[in-house]
Amino acid sequence: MSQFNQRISRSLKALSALIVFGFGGVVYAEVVLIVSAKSSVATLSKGEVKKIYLLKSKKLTPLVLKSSMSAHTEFRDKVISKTESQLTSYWSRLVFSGRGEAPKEFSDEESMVKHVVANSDTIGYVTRKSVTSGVKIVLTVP
Amino acid sequence: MYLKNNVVQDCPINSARKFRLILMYVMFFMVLLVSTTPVSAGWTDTVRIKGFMNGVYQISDESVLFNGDAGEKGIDNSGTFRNTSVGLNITAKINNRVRVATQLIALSQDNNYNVELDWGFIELSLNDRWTLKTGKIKFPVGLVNEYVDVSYAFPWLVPPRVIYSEESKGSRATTESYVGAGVTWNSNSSGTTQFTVDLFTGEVDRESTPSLKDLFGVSASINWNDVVTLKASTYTRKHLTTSTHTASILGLKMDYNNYIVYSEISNTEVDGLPALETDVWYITVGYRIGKWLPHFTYESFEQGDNDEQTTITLGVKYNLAKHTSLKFSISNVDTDLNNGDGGLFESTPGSDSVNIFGMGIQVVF
Repeated sequence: MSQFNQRISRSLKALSALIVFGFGGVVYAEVVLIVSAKSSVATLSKGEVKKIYLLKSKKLTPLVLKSSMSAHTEFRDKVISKTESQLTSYWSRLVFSGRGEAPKEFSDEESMVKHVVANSDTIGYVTRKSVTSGVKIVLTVP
Repeated sequence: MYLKNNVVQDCPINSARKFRLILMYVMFFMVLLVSTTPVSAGWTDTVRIKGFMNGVYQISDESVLFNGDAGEKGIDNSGTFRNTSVGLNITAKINNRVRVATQLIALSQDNNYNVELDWGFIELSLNDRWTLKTGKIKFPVGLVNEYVDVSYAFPWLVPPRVIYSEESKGSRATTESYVGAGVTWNSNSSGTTQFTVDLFTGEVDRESTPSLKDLFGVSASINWNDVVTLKASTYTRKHLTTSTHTASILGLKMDYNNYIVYSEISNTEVDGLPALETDVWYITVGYRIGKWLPHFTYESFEQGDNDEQTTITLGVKYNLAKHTSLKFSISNVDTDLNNGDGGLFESTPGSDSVNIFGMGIQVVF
């Protein structure tokens, strides 16, 4: 019987560890939109960010992370609401008609943060842990 | 400065070629300037290179060429890789207001790939709403004319031929590009509805036939939340300095949930040539299922006194991997045999029902 209880408590511990780890994971994966700390932009709505990324607003120049990165998927699903192929064909239509430029792509969050710090007319997104003092958060992805 | 009006008018045939050369010099100069100036942004931040590639194969069960002639290689029962193309897109942001954008394209023609400037222009942003451009510019008419060679960007293997074809047998509703200038106004509104208006003027330089002069056109579109786009375009130009050619196109594009609709209607007229008056329309309905996009298209073509020629197409686009898609399509053309005119065929086909099969791979990079 005690052996059984032990087993139960062990699996409960494992479960709670999993939950804690899981929540930790969620907190870590929280994606935020960032601009340079020097930018005059203080806050943006989801709609405004979507417009910037769909190149309908020239307010800021958008930057993207590689499509295989989880922060990109999170951002694309929740802010842009398009599938990857819908988004790439959308940008293709603008690029190959000469109507716009596809966002510059970064393969790691640190280099995107560096670029945003150095260019006050750009906007990017990273997981919260990559945020530095050189940037400010203008929107937290829900 | 580089494209003075009098230069364009004095030597219409050479102006496009001259302009291309000048554009090359401008590009070269700019690259030199950028690469020798110690700017923090650096060369790679200023110049961007993108590209696309389409591999297309089409074959019909008829020996009379569809959508083309012996010189241009239309589609017949011996099959063709026509429309196979490679494109390279190079843009440079000179500063916050000026951008130079160019696209080179190599199209398969008689088994040769001739590289040419697809489009290339200098763009000046006056503010968030007004943009001026000058150079070789795609006709801003129709829903897909500005990227008509980039198959990855639309559902069909090739866009509906009743509107997007430059063959002499077609409707002449669109022309790929012109040399001249354009102005774009964008509402840049904060709401979900966006308005865009394009005014354009110039001329069309063609290799084998005389240039089309005195081109004037306007195109206006409304985009509602990326779900519905309505676009109306009209333009006029002179053929051989006498007859006036007028074309109007009205288009609707919808992308709602997983449903996709494209539909366009067009009328073209050439002064004094009622036999060339053409009325065409098509509708495409598609439904996205994961990586698959099956779609159905109905096309109608009517020219002069001839009877209507219709085409039904079943196609599918499959997103194979990032930036890569595969497409298959099968069409049936119901040709009219009573009139002695082949419609979109080079001449009257032997059969009153022609099937066309096509497949292709599309990549953007």
